[in-house]
Amino acid sequence: MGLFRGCKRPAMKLNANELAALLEAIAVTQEEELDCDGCLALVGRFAEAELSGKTPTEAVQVVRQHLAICGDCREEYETLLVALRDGAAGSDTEL
Amino acid sequence: MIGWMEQANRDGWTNEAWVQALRRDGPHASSAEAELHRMLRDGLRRAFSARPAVLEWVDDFAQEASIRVLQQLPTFRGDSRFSTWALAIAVRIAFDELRRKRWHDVSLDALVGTGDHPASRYKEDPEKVMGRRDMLRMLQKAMSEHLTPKQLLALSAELKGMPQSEIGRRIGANRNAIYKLTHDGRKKLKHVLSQQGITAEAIAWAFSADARGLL
Repeated sequence: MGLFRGCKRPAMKLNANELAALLEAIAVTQEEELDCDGCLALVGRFAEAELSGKTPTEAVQVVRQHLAICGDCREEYETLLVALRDGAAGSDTEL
Repeated sequence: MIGWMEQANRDGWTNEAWVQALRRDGPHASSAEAELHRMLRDGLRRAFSARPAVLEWVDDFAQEASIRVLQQLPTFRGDSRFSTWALAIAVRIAFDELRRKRWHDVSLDALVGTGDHPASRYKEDPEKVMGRRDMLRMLQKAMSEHLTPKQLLALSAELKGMPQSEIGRRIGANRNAIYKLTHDGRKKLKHVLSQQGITAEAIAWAFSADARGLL
């Protein structure tokens, strides 16, 4: 698509709140980060560790870092937690 | 002989029971798929119980999620319970669709030029306000000088609340590609700013909780 060709699009103006949010995201940015698909693959294990009160393994800790950055995945994770918490006494007896 | 359903129930829906029952060439695939749909539908109802307006779409979300789960079944590694893994997929599908509905009529152009909000979420702290202003000014300069047009647009749209999947939909990229785009942008800005003394520690100092006050 030609959306970015020549950068003709005027730059979005960011307000102080938005710039501050970006600075805070930059502060926690890592050289290597989990992407959204990687997060989805691991988030179930991370959620179960969280709900059981166990410390997630190092491999799953990268999920925490991703959730700190990615608002979309964080929203999904929090919603997943609601379903898992409310379902703990339900039909899934593995909990 | 113990049927798959009895086996699954006896074992508390083990991962193995789910995977075996859902095998497309298995004798119980059809009833297992129906059970999968039920499990996802009930899970989504719990997930969105606080948002009644969403509940009317839960069956559709569960249907789509069932298909996706079956497609991705070979990638299930058993790191979590099968039900948790499948429900995470269903929640993502639901949010993708909800975000699409919510942002359907919003173009990237509509986000341009909406930055002139005078309010700051930070109280004016005489000791830190100057540092914050300098950082924000240097950040703006670094963004204009070092980000690619794609990185600038994706980061800006994200900061204005547009979900990554929706940014991607408008520029022909998937959510993962948008994340990589913004990650590369953040890394570049972090490098440029750190060369100017704006380290993670300096940012934490300037924007620390004690300086913050929601207006």
